[in-house]
Amino acid sequence: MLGTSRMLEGRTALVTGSGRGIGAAIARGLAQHGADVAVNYVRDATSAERVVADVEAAGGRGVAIAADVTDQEAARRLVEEARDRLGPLDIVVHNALAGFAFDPRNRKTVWDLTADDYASQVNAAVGAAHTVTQAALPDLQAHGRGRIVSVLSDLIERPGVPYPEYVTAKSALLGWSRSMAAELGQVGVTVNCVAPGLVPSTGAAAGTDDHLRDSLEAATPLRRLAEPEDVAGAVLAFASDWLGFVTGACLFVDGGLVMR
Amino acid sequence: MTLDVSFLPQLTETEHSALTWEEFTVRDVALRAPVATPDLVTTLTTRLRDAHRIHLADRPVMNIIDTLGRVQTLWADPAYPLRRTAEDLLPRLTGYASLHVRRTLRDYLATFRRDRLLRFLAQDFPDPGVLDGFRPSPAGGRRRARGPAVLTQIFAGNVPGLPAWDLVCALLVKSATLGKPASGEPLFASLFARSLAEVDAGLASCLAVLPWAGGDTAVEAAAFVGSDAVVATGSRLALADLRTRVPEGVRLIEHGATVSVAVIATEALGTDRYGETARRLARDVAHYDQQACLSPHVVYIETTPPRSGVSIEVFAAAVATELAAIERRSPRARFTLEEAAAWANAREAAELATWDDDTRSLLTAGDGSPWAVTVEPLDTPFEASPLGRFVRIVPVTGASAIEGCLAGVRRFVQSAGLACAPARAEEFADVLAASGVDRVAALGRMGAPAPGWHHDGRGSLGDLVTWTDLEPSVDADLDLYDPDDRSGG
Repeated sequence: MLGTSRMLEGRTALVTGSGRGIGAAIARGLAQHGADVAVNYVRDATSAERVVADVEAAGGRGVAIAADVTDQEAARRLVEEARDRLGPLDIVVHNALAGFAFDPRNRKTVWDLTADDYASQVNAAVGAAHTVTQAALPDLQAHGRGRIVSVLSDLIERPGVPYPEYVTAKSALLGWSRSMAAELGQVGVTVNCVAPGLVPSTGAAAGTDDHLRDSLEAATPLRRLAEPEDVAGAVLAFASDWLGFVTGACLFVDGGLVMR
Repeated sequence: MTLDVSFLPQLTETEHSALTWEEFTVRDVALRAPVATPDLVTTLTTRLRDAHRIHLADRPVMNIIDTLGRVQTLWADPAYPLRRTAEDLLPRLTGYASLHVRRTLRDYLATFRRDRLLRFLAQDFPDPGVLDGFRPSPAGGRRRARGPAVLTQIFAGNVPGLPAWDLVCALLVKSATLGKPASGEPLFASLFARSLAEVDAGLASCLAVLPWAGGDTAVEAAAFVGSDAVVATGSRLALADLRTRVPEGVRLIEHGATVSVAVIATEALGTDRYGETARRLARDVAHYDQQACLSPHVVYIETTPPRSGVSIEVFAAAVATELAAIERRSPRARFTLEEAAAWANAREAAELATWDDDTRSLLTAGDGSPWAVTVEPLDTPFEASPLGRFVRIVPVTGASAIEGCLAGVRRFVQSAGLACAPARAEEFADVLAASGVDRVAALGRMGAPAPGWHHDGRGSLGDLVTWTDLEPSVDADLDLYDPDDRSGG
């Protein structure tokens, strides 16, 4: 669906949380367009190895690296290992989701949440992005073609189901991303965001019921929900040279549900 | 492990283990069942007759309803192991997308809820007591209704799960069933019977499920001779053959293949409504890839002036967009070679026809498209779809033109999906009834008939029973023989 090309040949990418779901689609997409890819995962090594096999089948080099990016030490080791095994990084995709399941019936509401719930989500999202980015900067800033892409959610603009701690963390990541765009433009790195709508095929969305899916589809101009490849396509665009003069942007990938 | 798709509680353990078993695969699913022989079938019909006498004939109908309601409660639990089995295997057996099977099965199972069964029963029997004994008749006297003691049922395979409904109908009129599942969906009848056995083994012993090759004359002769009636779903050809083989005195109740249509009034194409109308139409077209008789082959769109809203071409594009979106989440089932050829032929014919006719168009997703939408000339006579998400849009000069369009299929047309303003519903329904349509549903709901619908225009339960009338004279004139001698006056 995403096609193949040599557009990213010679570039090395690290995709956090790419053992399955959206991250896996991003890893495959990058490989199909020529990149070597470090596939980061936390638990499911078998699934991550399958993604690596797909990366290699597409002609790229791939490695699976286990690391919980919310752990600063592990995040730094992840970048080091990716660099050691594949060479300097050109593309970093912040996709990992820290222990969060979308389940409208079992979400925490304002009556249940504590300040710590927010802190842990924000730390996980922004902290991981910061640590990985900081560790990768020596590579990214060296070539004038460094790319950072963060995967957010269209819930930051349209919290159809409110997940306050999650939406707050993703909104924080948008603020972080814009600040990085301002800071890192000077060293030739673009920093952008992709904000997908509900991707029902992912494990995190398993709790979403049919009623919610139907109502979202009906409200979406393009009449369907997002698939991992839709999100990967937008990440590829930001990773490519085509959008090399765009930074600090946030692209909503939700079939037109959010327009901005 | 291969799954046993038979259900034969009438046999003893010794008899069961003495059967010759056969393994077979449907798509990638390995299944097994005993080899059907005339002797085995004769044993089953005899035992079913006994089971009927012991467990069914004198059971109050409300007890049957309660029992079936308890069975439904089992299925209503998403974690119920047999439901899990069905959700896992039905998509693999039939090729329909998991999401589609899961959702339609869930809605379908809900139609067996106790309250809905009561409504279903009341549709054909305003006083369900007639199934238990003689009850006052509106025409005077008393009457009671009896279903056949033993039914042979030849199930349909086009819609996963459908046989459960046939089994429920039989039980409600106190008939035991020997069921032959279809080769394409041999699973659900036995699953349903097993769930009934969990709730009431006695009632379940009135059901036997045994696959055999359709048209096996020796086996079917034994089945028919041991039955009081035969209920058969199948192609017109298969039914015609069956008719010659069902013995005199055994009733044959047929459900042949039918076609359905949709009707869209001009107001449903309003600029603020056409998107939703297209969505509903596409949902009906994608329902089991039109294989269920309930999905529209053709959509009639009213073009009576004054027209407002979008053009038919724009509407067709919106329908195509919806079909493309549905394909992403619930891909069409893989075709057999014959189906693929028929589809390709219909598509090619539609494409050729567009070349020298500006009033026609064809929308597809290119080669290998999993859907097709055609726009045909005004008031085109009905032409069947090859099924598999292929829908024809026919503009009509007005509601009354629909009858002419459907003239060729008057005896085979079943459902119509309707999208119009409430005040105009009867106007359309009148035309549709005159055209042979026996069910009108809201567009988007064509795949989910209401409980108690008249399947093919007939009472699903009423069709099964025969009546015994105790005429008014019995009450009036038999005083003569009253030993209390009230005859003299």
